[in-house]
Amino acid sequence: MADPIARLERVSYWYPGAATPSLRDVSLHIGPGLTLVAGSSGGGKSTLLRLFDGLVPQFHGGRISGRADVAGLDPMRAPIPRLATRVGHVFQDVETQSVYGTVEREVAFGLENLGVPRSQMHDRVDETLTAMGIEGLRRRRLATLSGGERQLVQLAAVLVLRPELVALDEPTSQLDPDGAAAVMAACAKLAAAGKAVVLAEHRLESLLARADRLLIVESGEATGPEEPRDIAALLTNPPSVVEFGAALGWDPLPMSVEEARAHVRELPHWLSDRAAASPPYSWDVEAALEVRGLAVGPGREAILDGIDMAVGAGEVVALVGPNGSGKTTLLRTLGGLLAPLGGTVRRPDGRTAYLPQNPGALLHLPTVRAEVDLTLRRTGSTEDAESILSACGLLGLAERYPRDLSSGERQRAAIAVTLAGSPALALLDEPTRGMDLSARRALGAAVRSLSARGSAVVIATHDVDLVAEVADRVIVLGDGRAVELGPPERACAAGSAFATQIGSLFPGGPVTVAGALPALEDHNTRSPGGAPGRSPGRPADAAEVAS
Amino acid sequence: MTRARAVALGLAALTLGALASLAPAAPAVPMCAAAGAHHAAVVVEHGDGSVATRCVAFDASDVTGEQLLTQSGIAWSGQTFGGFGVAVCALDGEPARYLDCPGKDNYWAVFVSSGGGAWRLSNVGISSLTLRDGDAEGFRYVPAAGDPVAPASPAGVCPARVAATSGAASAVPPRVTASPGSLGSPSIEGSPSPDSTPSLSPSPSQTLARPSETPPTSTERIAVVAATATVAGPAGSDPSRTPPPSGPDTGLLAASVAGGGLAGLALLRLVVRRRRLR
Amino acid sequence: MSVPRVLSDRDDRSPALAPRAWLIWSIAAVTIALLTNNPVYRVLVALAAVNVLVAWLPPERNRKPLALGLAAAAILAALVNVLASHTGADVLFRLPVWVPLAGGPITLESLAYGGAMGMGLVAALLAVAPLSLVLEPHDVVDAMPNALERTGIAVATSMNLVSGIGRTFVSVRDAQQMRGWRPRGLRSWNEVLVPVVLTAIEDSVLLAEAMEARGFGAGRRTSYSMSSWTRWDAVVALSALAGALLFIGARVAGVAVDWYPYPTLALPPIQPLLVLGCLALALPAFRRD
Repeated sequence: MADPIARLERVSYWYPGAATPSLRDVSLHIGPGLTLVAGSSGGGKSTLLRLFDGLVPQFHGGRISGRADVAGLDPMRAPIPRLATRVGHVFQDVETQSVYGTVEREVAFGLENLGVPRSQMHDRVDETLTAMGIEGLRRRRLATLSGGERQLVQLAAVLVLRPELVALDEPTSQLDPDGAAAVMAACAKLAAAGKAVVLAEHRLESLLARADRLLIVESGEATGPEEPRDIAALLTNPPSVVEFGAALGWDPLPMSVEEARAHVRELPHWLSDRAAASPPYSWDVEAALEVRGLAVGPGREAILDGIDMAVGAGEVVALVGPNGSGKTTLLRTLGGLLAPLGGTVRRPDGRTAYLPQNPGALLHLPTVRAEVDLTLRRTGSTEDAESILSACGLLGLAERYPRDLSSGERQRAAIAVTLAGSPALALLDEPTRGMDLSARRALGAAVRSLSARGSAVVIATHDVDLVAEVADRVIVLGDGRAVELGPPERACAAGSAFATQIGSLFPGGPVTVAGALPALEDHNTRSPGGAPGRSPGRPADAAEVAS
Repeated sequence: MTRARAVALGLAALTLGALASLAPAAPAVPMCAAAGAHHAAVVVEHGDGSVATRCVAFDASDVTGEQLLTQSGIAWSGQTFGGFGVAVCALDGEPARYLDCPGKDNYWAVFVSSGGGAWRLSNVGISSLTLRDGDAEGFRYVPAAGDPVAPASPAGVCPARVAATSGAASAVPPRVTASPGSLGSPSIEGSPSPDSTPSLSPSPSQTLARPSETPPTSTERIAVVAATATVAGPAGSDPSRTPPPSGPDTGLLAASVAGGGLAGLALLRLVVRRRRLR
Repeated sequence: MSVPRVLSDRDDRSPALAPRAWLIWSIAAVTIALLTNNPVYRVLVALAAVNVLVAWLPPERNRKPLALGLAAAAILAALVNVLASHTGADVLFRLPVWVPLAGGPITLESLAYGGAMGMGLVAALLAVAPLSLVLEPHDVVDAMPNALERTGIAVATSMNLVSGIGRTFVSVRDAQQMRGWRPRGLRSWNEVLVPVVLTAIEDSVLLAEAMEARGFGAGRRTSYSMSSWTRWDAVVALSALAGALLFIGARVAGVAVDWYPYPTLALPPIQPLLVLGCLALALPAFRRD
């Protein structure tokens, strides 16, 4: 590695009032290039990033030990404004990062703070906007930009200070795939230009192959930075190809679909044939949620029209599509929170559960269990809290104050709170935002448990892995219409806009790791089994399609 | 640019003219020469019907109602309100004690009689009233709601427009003696002593409650709304004169034209804009 | 009178009038509205402000909630005075005395005075409306004198946060409703308000962290904007100031600026010069673009 830009020696840090340290004895070097930081939520990734620009310990307080050097300054002692000229920090939520309302002024904010003379300010802002390729957005108001564009603006706002190290804390978790791709491309470009880019993310699919180094932070302990290939096996949230490769014992582990293809060529070709032969399923249970000719819109103008949809009891339907295509509006209309502009919605008898975006906002009672109990009481359910708590993996956290939990844990708590009590219809809006793999697995388990109890579930999401894992059908929204794509085997297959890694790996075959592995075992043991990716005896599908 | 410049010049001229005209003008009324040459009557009618009257002599051509009342020697206490002037809280011992001024249930209504004419209710405080020779100032303790009834006629309180000798203050002997109960002001009995030279400054025998910062509390029982509570402005603003009689007419005209113009302009813009959007 | 060019909603809407001129205008207008309780002047100030707003407000949003809110505030202010004050010569009707606070005669004078107060509130609100509805957040920062710049930033960022709170409120209320919550009396709103407040606090800490990470609080700040102070800006600012000074001068000189409708309702005293002072506030409505 070239000269490291940041050096940490045996750093331990406790947040104020915390009994356990968030960073334990961390020693590492960060050099130029793209360093990917991976780890479970609550494991210390954000804390580490905050250390680089001095927010920890100076802004947050607490106790710290050890030594650190970032671009020649000591982040524990140097004033944060000085550190701001060496380290840039981009946060997860665009809304709570913006100070001004327009792009130009937002980018210039940092320069104003540091007292840069006006003539210089204008030049530097021009230079940065051009370098990032967003010169065209200069006069725009931030509220009118897409999420991806806004994060690019925030990145420009830190780059204008000419830092040597740029830390980005889950910048793409709230973006749709296009926005995420734009931000990641910008990061790669920066890294190639010689800056040290430290990027913390949960969704590593497209990043592992591009990263120069991988750093794993779990429970406050850091492993790395090393070549991604060397420590990818230690990831608790590996991308599907890595998981698949690890399960099959491939060495070296594939970092991308392309690398995995080399291994796949060695596998028998019948795997793909087998998947293609699986019969299409059909649904013959009566529709729980029925939608005819629905037109929805946030105001008086319809952004979606002519929607026909039916979801049966126990069926899981995924709504996919870019931000702004109307997913949230459609969900709110399905739930009865918004009046339809035309057409009808018939909901099943019983409760409708609705999980909004940013669900952690609604928690305020002293314990997670109290919140779940409140839902059960309010909805008149006779169940106890244990079933939903265990389905979401929250039994150990049930007595904690929900707002003190890490973001992934809080999200799981919100899901448990919202879905408790076996609702007849469950509507989930972007449930996996900012979730690590274990939380996503918990969500999948909760959804499956709901579906097993006969709830109709509609999930609006970008997360193709979730779709592949739990959905029975996929509907894509765009251009004011809804188009049915069928089961995940078709919707997430190779070549689709929503293809999963496994799906890309096996055209016409399974789309999840869970779907691909049993088929292999099955073949190896030569015993009969069901169609890959699904347990046998699934209900048939009678849904209608609109266009 | 030319429009801007024209408007700027016009405004500058108007501002200068306005500020000049607001400067207190010298009184145009010729001064009477002799001391004690002018008289005005003060009539006080209590809630029970008893009446106290005084005739007050003064040198200058006009006095304020406040000065007149002070000179009359009748004990009184008052409170100053912003642009209103001084309001009478207690007069001649009634009410003996008070919390609100003017009182919630009963208050002292002020009347003015010009040159012996009929009583006219005053809408301003006594410090804002101007009285001349032959005028009268009347007070009656009336219930808060409903039309205030005028006090007893001022006729005969003062000698009718004869050249008064200096210092002579003829007065109907007061039927009611001021009780010592009213807020520490010394009681006054009988007619004022002939050798007290009427002066134009308030004698120290008064207690004037002048809480200058107090916003009008009782009459205008305002809740949280900030607007007028802080309006008090420079307290005890010097009472100089009532607005010139021609003021309200031209002022009303100006206000109506201005208001109508602004309202019309706003509506016009709204209509044009809506049409443009369609 | 030309119809203003309709600005695109996507772009920076900094108005063609300098932010500092707007600030001076607003302060002058509020001063006049609060310095006098004469309803005629207050109505004139309100009308002038309405003209300015109609000329400058972007047309796309629905202004009815704003208008309704103002009307509600004015009526409430008037009602409070009417019910609490029982003086005045013209009694309209009488409420039974046992009604607390409001019992007793309701008079025309207290109604009129309450109306004047309501008018004052409306005029003051309209006078400060452009600072939030017409100016961009960074304009508010630019308008502040150097000493108050950080205050300006606090104001600007709070404007951003407030819109976030509105969104959070809708989201939390929807979610709680689907969980079975019903708005039933004041206490029940806790379930919506407490989460919103907690989220707002967390968001403001996140924003503070982001601002500090970009060097906020370091010391001397410079300003990105170039002050484009034109002659028209000077005219607007000076005329507004002149109007305010007229009122202050009138008060100092003792010219009747106020209006007391007690004990009998009488027409308020109106000085033509002060009317002119109020009219001067309508100048910004004549846009130069």
